[in-house]
Amino acid sequence: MHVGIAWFISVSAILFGIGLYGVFTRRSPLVLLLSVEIMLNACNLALISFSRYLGQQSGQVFALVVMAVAASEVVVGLGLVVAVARRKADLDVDRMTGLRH
Amino acid sequence: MTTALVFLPLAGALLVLLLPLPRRVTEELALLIALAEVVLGAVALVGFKVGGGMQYVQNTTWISHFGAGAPVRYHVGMDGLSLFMMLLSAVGIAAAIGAAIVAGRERPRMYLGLLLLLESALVLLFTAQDLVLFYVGWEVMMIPLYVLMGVWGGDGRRKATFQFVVYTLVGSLLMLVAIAVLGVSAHSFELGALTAHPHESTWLFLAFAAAFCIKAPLFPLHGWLPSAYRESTPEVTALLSGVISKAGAYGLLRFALPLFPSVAHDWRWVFLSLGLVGLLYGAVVAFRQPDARGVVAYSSLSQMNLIVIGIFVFNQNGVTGATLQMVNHGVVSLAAFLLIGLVELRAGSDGFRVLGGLSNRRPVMSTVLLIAALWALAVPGSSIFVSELYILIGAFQQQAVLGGVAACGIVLAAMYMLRWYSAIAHGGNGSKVSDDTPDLRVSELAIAVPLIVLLLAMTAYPYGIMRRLSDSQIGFGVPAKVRHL
Amino acid sequence: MQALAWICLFAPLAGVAVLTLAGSRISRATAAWAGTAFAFAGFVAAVAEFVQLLGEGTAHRAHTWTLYTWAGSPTFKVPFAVLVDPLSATEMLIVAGVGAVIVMYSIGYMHGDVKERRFFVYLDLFLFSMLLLVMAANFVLLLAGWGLVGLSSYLLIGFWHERPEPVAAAKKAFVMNAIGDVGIAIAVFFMVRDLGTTNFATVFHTAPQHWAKGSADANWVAAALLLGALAKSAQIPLHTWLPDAMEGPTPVSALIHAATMVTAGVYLVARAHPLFQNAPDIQALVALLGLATLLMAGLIALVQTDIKRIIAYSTMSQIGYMFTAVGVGAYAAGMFHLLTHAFFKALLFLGAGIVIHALGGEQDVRRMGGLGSALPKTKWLMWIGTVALIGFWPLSKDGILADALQKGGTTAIIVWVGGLVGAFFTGVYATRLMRLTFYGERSQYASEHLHSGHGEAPWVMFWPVAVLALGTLLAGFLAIGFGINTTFATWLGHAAPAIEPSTPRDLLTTAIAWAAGGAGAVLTWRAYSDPALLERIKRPFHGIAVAAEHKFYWDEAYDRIAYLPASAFATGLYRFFERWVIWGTVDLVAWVVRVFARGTADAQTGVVRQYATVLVAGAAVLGVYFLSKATL
Repeated sequence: MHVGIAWFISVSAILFGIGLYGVFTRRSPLVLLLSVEIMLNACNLALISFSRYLGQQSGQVFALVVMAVAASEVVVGLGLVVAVARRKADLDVDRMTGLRH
Repeated sequence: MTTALVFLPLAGALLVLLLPLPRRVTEELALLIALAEVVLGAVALVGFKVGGGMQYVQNTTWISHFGAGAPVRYHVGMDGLSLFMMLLSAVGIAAAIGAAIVAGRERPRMYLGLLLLLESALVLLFTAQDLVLFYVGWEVMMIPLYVLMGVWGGDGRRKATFQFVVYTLVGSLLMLVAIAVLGVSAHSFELGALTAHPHESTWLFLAFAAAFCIKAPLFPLHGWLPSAYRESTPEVTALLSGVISKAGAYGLLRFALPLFPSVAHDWRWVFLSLGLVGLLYGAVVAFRQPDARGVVAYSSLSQMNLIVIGIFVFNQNGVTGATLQMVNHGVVSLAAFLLIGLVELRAGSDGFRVLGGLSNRRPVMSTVLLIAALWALAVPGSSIFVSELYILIGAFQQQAVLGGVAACGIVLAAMYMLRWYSAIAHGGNGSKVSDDTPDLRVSELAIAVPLIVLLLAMTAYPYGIMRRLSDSQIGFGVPAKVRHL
Repeated sequence: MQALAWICLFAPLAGVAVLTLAGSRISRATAAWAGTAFAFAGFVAAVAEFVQLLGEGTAHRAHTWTLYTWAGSPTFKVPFAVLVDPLSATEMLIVAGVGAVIVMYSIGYMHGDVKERRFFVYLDLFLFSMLLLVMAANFVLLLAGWGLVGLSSYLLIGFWHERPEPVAAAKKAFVMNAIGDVGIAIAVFFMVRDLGTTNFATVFHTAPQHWAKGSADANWVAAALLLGALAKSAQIPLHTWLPDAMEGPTPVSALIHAATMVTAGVYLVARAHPLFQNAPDIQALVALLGLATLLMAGLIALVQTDIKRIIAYSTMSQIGYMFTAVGVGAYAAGMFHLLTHAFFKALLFLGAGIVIHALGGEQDVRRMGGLGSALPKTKWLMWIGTVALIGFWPLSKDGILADALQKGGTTAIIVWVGGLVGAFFTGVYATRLMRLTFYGERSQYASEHLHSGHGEAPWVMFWPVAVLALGTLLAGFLAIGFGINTTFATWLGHAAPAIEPSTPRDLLTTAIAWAAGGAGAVLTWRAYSDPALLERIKRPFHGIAVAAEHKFYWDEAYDRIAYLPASAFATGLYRFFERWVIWGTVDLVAWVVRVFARGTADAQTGVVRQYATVLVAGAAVLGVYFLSKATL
């Protein structure tokens, strides 16, 4: 069976949906970060697929950039989570509104 | 050269901000960088050729395509006006850093680093020959100012800072729109290219003028001034009054007038009338101020409006006077506000009610304050007298009544500055002054004396500055039809 | 010689620099003597310059020397240039000579003051400024000197600034003089606009071509210059600062407020006489204002009780004479009175200073009396000054009146009559001063303080006074002959023209003037010896005496008309317009921004998932939009 571009895009969409669902439903910042990672990787998958499909390299380049950004984002995000966790035990993103004021 | 002048303080700012050095070392490093900038500026002054037009030019592409295809260039250079504004910034920041060290400001890395950042922005805006580059300098200037006013100032600093930033941002945004429109329609942001084909749009001119006149400030746009000058630290107030207000006048000379010469000429009476009212209004209000800063603040308003008059009379005498006055008033108000800072260090306040008698047994302080006061009131023979005289001559040539009425400002200036000096220095000791209140210390003298020496030097030979200034014809914005004056 | 002129001008300035930089590193006595040395250096150079000038032919006695371009725009340049001609050389000699002598006197007078060094800095600064004023070769430099003498005067009047009165007097003097500065500045504006230069020679030469005689512009220029002259020379209506200026140390009163600075207005009119002759109405105004001042000040001097204020009003009155002289075109006569007045008035002030010094600071003549036996030398020296003041010798005052009579015309005749009346007043107040101070019964206060005081002055104070007395006597010989024939008028030449004399009229005038002055003197002497007679004379003049004691209410009028309303206006402007309109605008802008910001801020709940929802919704909208546009 020929695995066409549609398969890859579908997997990517499913992954993206899972990530989005996670972002919407979970309150733990850790899980939130995980979900965001899943979404980013879904995008990566799509980028690479199209790159392969179109025979152009730019998609892969973008994917690499996204990975680098994702890695930095996790570092910063986890750092923040740890910092917040140290200050208060309650890790609920809905209550983290301190920067509003 | 110009690039070095722009980036030396920037590099210094990063060093000071980032290196976790102890207070003492941080202070020395910041002062060293500021002094290096002054020396570099002095080298530029020595190498400057009279009659050489725009010098120390650097012109490369910065952003190749921007908006609808107009490139933004990194184009900097100095003619006489830029040169002296750059020098004024360098001297001002060096003096401010010195004063900050003497006063022992909290969080010195942040404070001194921001001052250096401010210097970089100032030098950039005074040397930029590209509208977008100028705007970058103009706005970057506001960032350190915002923090410097908002974090270190007096009790009412939050409101003062908010008002200052909001009020001036309104003006800058108008200018940003005007720059965009101008650049897109002419496919260039370069000043030289734009002035070659003057624009006729009244709205664009007013947008530029709004930004500059708020910063200067021109009456009645000065509402932000009193609280900003009162609530900031003396160093920041000195810079606001001495250097940053000049950015407004500089903008008028360099951009608003050359870009829209005939519109500006048509509108000159609006600016001349407002300038005249502001000149007298500032002087009258200064006379009723209850504190040292208030008097100098409103005198600053008065002087800046006189400069606006000099700019808008559209003749050589007026403009030469106005540009010289920018330099003169810059140094004088630096000196005045920094000295007020030293008085505040002693008395804890600058209210006339608690001051007095500082001349008694404090000969050095008395002399230095006196010289600052005399120059601020433009005592005949001083360099400020020369610049005011030229502005007034220019005004008189434009319209006799204008010059005659503006000349009355001389009397008012004498009234409020003598009141200022007497309230601080004369009479018996004020309630916050005692016989033990110290005279100026050596470190404080190191701030005051160079400024005083500068004033005396400029008085001995004002033509040394004037002949270099009058070289910067490009900034004078004298439209062809009135150039013969 | 050029170098001499520059030495004369800059020697006192060097003194300022040296003394300021030396500060407290040198002793007070060193500073005082150094300050005097710099003043004398200027005087020596002035004398040498004068001798040089004498050696040259009359036609070549005018030199303009330029040091460098001081200020300039592309269209108007100001050279730092001096003009040395007989007029300025005369002034140089007066300023540097009388100045140096008075600086020397100050060594004794200011001995022991905490701020002694500073005093000599200020004196030297004054000498530099005054020399700049009289040597300047253009109106801008003249204005610079004009303002700087005002500044030095401010500093010296307010020298004892711990007390409020000197500070107030100093401020008043400076502000009134600033009004005069504005006048000269306006004249400069006219010159630059119409003539393109302010150099004396060019201006005087070309002015009549640009401004027709008696035209509005010609009148404006002369009136503007006159405003400056009135303020500096304390003439009506800008005279009120001079009596208050007596708060300064006495040498200052002698130097600045008698001998040199206050007569600068006369110098200005004489120097700029082509401009005044181009505006005859204004020139007549000069004479009439001078006459009004000389009569009014003479009246006020009759009733003053402060010894320095009596002399101050006398100064004002004598300068009135000089103004009438230059007002009727008798420039040489005016300058000659300026010269002799510099000597004898400085002499009187310094003599008064010795008296004040001897009494430990007392200035009220009612608390003196009978000091002649204690201060015999001072008494005789002051008699020389008094005789000169009344006008017996040197013949400077009647020279003015003789010229006025000779000139003819309504103004000149009014001046002649008024001047003779003034001569009578002069006789009265000058004699009264001497009588009350040195004769009669010694007051209790005087006897108590005389012995604890300093007695007759030390030599460093005595000799300057003696030199001035000698100068007063010798100056008289310059005026042998009348009008244009005097040695002095010949020397001045074209720089300050004189009037053709007519001997019978001159002799007549002199006789009447002597008679008027002598009558005043004799009457006064007799009246003060006989209290009943004095009462009888005083009674009919009670009303005018009260008015004179209140200085004819000028100060009160200025307060009510100008100062108080202006002050209230300024306060009102600040309290209402500034607060509500100007600051209100800023508040309004800030309020608009704040309200807008508050509205948008409410959207920022801080809940991350809300943000995500909005983001996804936005992305969905964009996605739908692009998909609908896409052509698949």
